[in-house]
Amino acid sequence: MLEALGVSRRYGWRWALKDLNLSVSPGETLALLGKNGSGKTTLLKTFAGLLMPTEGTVRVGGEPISREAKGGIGLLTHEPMLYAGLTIRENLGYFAKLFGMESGDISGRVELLAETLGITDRLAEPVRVLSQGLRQRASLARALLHDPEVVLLDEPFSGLDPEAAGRLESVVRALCEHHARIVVFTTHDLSKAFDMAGRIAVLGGGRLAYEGNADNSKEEELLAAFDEASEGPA
Amino acid sequence: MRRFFYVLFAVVEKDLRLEWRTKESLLVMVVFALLVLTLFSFAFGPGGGSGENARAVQAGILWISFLFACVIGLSRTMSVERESAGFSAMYLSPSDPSALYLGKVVSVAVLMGIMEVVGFAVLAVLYQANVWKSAGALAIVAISATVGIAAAGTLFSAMSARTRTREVLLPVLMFPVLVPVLIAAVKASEAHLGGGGWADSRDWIRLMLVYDVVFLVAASLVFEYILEE
Repeated sequence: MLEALGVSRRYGWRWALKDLNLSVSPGETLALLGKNGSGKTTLLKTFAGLLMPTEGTVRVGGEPISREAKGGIGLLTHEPMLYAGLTIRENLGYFAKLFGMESGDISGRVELLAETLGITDRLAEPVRVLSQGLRQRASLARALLHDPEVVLLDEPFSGLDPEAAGRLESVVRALCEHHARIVVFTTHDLSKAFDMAGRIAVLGGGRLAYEGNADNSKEEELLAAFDEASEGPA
Repeated sequence: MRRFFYVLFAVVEKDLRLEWRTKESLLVMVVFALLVLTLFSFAFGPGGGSGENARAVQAGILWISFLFACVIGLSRTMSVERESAGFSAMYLSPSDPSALYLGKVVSVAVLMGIMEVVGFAVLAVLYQANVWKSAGALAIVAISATVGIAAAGTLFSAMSARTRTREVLLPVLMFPVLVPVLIAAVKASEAHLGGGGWADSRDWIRLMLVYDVVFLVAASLVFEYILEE
């Protein structure tokens, strides 16, 4: 279980998140919607332990997030978190070691992920020569490298061609349906949210404006919450 | 403990591999140190001046050139981490921040070590300094000072890496803290370049070793907070 309990986060004088309560169960996919600046990325980074909440707690498996717990979290952000001068294989090898994977296991895991994400023939290429879409896929491989229990994806479909988006979609579905992972992703694409997520949450001004099952019959209610949430200042 | 060194060597391997590919930091460091040493050799003459102060001048120029070259190298090294969001990626991992920090220190120290070998060779040629006869003793002085400079430099460059004024902030933060190690390095180098024995340099080397230990331990403890966004 991934939980945000009364989480608030402030940047200087501005509250990016305010008293937010949200929980996601294993095997569940949550889509986070909201306009730019609504706090989606901040919430994902707080879930990942990259940002500490100003107030409140983030819990993973019932425990406050700790350094050890980070071993079970994978985060994909707008920043690829890959070294441009290294090849995809070298990047993944390095991050695998940071996550404590044994040298003997790394190669097999890298090959498997590369095959799943369609980057096998690009593994030996430096990240600097890759297109944005390929970087996104390599970055996703980095996030999934250590087979995390919690997968956090910040706009994972941006920059992907339809084929790559389809692959990613099937990866996310498999993570939830077959491996009972917790998946939280942000998107601006309402249809993608309804299509992929079991539950949808809308953020506005750092607050939770709507939360409910991804049921198409609730689309109007959700859109109304989306518009309402984006009207007020943060 | 095995995992600690596993992570430490992973960081060193990654940094040196990146440097081997790009040669961005090392090349700039070596060229800068060479330029400073060459320019001062014209100013002070072949022996670094004459009389009793010649060795002190040589040692002073040498360590000042190393220090400024190191600042340039550190800025470059940390800009790679900034551009790749490398610190965030490190902080996302369950790795011991001390291992990550010490890995960065070792990488910086290796680059400085290569630059220093070139610097000492240039000092021997341009300043006719007594480098070869005291090579062993000077190596110990250089290692002691390099660890201290790399330890402080890594910490402060990581601190300033995410700020807008990082190029200015790094030397402003780093230089005052490095005063003890710089004075000790100059004095110990001066003693050995002048043909003096261990008696003249022992206390300065001890000072550097104490500085190294204190800084490495303290910085290892606070590095986690620097990685946080």
